[in-house]
Amino acid sequence: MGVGKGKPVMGGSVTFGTEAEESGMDPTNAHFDSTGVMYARAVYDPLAIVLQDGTVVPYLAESITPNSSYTLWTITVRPNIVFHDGTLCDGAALKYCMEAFYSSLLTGNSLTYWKKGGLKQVGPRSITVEMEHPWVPFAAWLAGYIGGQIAYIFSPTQMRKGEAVLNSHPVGTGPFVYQDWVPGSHFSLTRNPHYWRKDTYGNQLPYLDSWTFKPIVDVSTRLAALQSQEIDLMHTDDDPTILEVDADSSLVSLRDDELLVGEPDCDFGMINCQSPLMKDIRLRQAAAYAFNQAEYCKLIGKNIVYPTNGPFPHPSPYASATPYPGYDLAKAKALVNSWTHSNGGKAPSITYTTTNSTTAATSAAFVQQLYQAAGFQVQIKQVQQAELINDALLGGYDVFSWRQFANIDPDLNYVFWTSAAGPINFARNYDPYIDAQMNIGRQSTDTPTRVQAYQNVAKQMAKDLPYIWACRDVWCVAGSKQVQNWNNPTSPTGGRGLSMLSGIIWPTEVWKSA
Amino acid sequence: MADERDPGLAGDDLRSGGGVEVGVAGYGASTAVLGQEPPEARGVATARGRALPAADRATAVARRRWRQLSWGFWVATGVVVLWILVALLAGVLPIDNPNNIDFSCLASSSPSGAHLLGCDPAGRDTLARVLYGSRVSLIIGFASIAIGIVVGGVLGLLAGYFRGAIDEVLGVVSNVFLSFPSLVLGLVIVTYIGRSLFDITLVIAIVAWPLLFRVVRAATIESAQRDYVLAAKALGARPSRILRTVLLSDVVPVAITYGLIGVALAIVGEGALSFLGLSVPPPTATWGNMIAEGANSVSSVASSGASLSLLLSPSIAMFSFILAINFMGDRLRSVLDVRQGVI
Amino acid sequence: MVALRRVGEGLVTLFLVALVTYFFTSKMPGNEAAVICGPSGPACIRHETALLYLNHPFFARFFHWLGELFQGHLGLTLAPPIPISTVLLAAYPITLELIIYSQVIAIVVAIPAAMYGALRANRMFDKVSTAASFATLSLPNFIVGPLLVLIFAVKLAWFPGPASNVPSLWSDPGQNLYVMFLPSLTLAVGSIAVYQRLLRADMIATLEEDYILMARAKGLSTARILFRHALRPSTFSTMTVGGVQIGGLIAGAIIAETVFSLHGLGSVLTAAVAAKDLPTVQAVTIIVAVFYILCNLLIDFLYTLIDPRGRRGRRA
Repeated sequence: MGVGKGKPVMGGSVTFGTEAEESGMDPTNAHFDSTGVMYARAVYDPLAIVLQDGTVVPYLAESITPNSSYTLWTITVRPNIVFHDGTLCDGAALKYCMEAFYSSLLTGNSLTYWKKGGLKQVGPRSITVEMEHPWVPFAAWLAGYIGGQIAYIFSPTQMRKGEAVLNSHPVGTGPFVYQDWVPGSHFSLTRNPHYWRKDTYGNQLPYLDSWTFKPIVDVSTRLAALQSQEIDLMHTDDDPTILEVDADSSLVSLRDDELLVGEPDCDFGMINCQSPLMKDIRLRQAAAYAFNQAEYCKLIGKNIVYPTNGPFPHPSPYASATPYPGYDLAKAKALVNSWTHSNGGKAPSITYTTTNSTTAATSAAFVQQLYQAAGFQVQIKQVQQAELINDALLGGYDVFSWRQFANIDPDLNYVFWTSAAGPINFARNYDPYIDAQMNIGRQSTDTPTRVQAYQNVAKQMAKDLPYIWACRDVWCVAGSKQVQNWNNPTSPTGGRGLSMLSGIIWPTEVWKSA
Repeated sequence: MADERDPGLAGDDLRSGGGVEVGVAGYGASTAVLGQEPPEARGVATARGRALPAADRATAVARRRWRQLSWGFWVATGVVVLWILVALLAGVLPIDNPNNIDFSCLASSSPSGAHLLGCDPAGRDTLARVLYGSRVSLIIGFASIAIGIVVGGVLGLLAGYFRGAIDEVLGVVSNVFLSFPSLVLGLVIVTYIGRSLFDITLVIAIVAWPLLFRVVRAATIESAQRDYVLAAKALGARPSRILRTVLLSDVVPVAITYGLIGVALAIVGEGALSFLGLSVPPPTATWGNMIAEGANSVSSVASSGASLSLLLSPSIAMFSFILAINFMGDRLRSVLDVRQGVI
Repeated sequence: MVALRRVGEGLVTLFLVALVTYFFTSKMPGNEAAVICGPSGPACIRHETALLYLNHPFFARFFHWLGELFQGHLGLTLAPPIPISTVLLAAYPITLELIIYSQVIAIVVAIPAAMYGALRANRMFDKVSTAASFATLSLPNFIVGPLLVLIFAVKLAWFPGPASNVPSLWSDPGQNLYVMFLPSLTLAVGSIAVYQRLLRADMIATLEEDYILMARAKGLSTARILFRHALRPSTFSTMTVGGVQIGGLIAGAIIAETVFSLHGLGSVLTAAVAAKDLPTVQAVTIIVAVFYILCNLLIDFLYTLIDPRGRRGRRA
């Protein structure tokens, strides 16, 4: 499925219906989610690509090599590649971009291991980055998945034009050239005639003449648009919609549930560990005990998804048993009672924040029932998609219905789980033990040690309870039958790239049968 | 802003079928219906003006008409009263909690014995949500117009009676508010005030008061020129006494009639905000957000009886209420002889 | 002198409209910065606050904004930072087309219906259409739109449903008018009812005029009398109400764009309100308000041009 049969056809255009609009295209400044990563892959090239077995190999880069202690990384870009504006993509450009990432208030948060002034151009196409400590999975950050925005190399010329220029008019080396962006309506790109990649037949990539992203926030409208062929491809993690997609034989669809690399997205209740109520561990424990995962995944998740006890659900290589408190209503009640007792006899009244989709409403009402059964009072607050991140950032919540953490390596969640990065640790769980384990995971070269460290993180989370785990989240990409090869990205040096994780595909090698 | 229009403009002939431009609320959630700038109003009125009998005769006619209210008026009143009762008593009616999820209703949510109007995709009882949804509409509709009548009415009385600087200033202020299409103004104020039930009431009141101000002001001006008011003035009666007289005899009927139409307008306005997802936030059921939900589910190809019910139930509820209240307003206006072109 | 006074009044109104717009969209200081910065944190918020002039007193900010506005600088949308003018230029044709198209539909339907009703006043057709108009006016367009989708797009599949691609009116007029038909009809339904009622009433009055009786006496055909003699004098109130209606049409366009997922000014405004993108809310609001004021002035002007007083004199 999703792999082209026969010889690719050149030409044509494809429209992809996304679940959200992006806030910008400047990789140093915007925050790329599942949709954003696809936008970025259309117009930029990442320095590296992750293959289906999880190995990271160079993409725009010719080589990415660490020294023996992983404290000095040398990155060399391929020769003779130019940005869409004609600027040469060389060592100077690479250094410019990396400096911008380092000084950015957003991406700089992730680069706390970099030594100040440790960035040097060492050849016409090469730079070195010096680290304070060993950073073993650094290459995974250069593969451009969520959080790994520093992978996307942009034209310095465009960046120098002013604060917002690159953010709204991205210029990269990628397969498509930015043409037109009307936020909320479409993000349109045309074929880059000078793209550096060829396919195995010797065809110049990309195959398509143009590519358009069309954000359609409402998922039933998105599916209707696909069915009426207003769009060619779409993604969703909405379970009822996935069932509808399955039932429609005119569509081709795939899910990301066979993934064996890194970790998938999870659905969970994210707790504000600093909120006046939820900073009390008893209430967090009660919330976990009160949550009937099995029923939730069956009824809300339509049995497409399954329960998880931590951020690494089966079949993630980091999966393990954890002491996560399973459903036990009696214990939940006892904990709420004990809290009520020590707080003047008033039941804890919490807000549960979620988005305003139908599925979110169903889910929220279900969670409300579960929590109320345990003695909580629950106010549901539904916010628009656009308000989501700021509500989480500003921290004015108790429990937030959340979806996150899909990635090719747990190290990419460093900023979300450690106390190093401040507000991006939305749950505000600052635990030195987790910090230490995350550092071990980052610094160790020994795979079993790394796996152990991340399993320890999962176990500690089961005690701290910043996240009330619900289910592993499943994404689905669906397309009309004419669209070919959307699940078959390749590395320039051969080897099939990872696709589908978190509903993300590559536009480069998609083609459309006549 | 010359509003001292020729006496006896507008009138009986409009009642036979014309004059909707200021009569009926609903279309476009906007000022389109409830009045506009004086030039237009003047235009409308003068274009169709006839020399008509004096107001005194009209009052006598009105009295007769009270007794002639058609059965339609009483049906409409019944519908309005019924909805008010539903809104008040939703809590004790034998219906589900509107936010309660029936998981057996998730998969097949078509109308059935347990759920007469079926369920929404979230498994919530559509009937319960429609009935509870009346609360938001009615509370906001009546409360916002009540605020609007108090604020707009008092200012309108003062402006219409004293004229001069106060009238000029209030005229300009109301003009400024009326320079925005009302839904646009509503959206803008929502960003400022917020989206709780009280906030939205306030938003609609802010949008509505200039219209009510104009209605009351115009009625006051007209009334202030009547013989008995002029006589009272000449005899040196205190303004407060005159205002009271004016208020009771002439302005109150106008305010009530337009207030009723205003309620319909306010409910449509709230519905529009709700439909756009910018009124009282979910999961609270409102007719507007239910219609939006229904609209989404019918546009998907896999629509069924459930999504039909989801769209039609709140639509019919809202339509029945607005139609009834408009009809009441229309009849009342002819009975009370409130002029069509008054704003 | 009168004209000068009108212009002066207009300018004061415009200034106050701008003030009101700015006032209602400028609460929550620092919020714009928070929206822009997202996860970038407090340092970013401080930076953007200074950059966006947010740490100044209200009137300083207002006049700064007004100054920029006069130079045609609408600013950038908050996230992504696209020039607001670009967004508006892409969006306004949809809204404008909706409004104009709907009025064309309304007139095409309402004139014959009103004429027929007036000719046979209080007969069956007249009664039914008058009652239907009254009922229609109680039907908000956020109910009309979904019903049209349900009937004509889902059940009958005669027209495309929501989220259709709209080709440019100039490159593919046929397809454009086809796709835009249902959204425009959503707006037109209310206008049809208003026009039908007004035209019918005016027409009945006009048909009693002496010169119409004269024309009849001369033996002119009914159609000729209706179109050549009766229609024009009967359109005065309809026209003035057309001006009043523009506010309703703008509101209707916001709804229709939402129902049909069209990218017009209305959906830009709604999305901006939801995302607390204040600069965009400000820009759309002020532009719509100015458009609205100008339309009303234009109607006012046209009205004096046609001079209804002459007509009234003739009638009296």
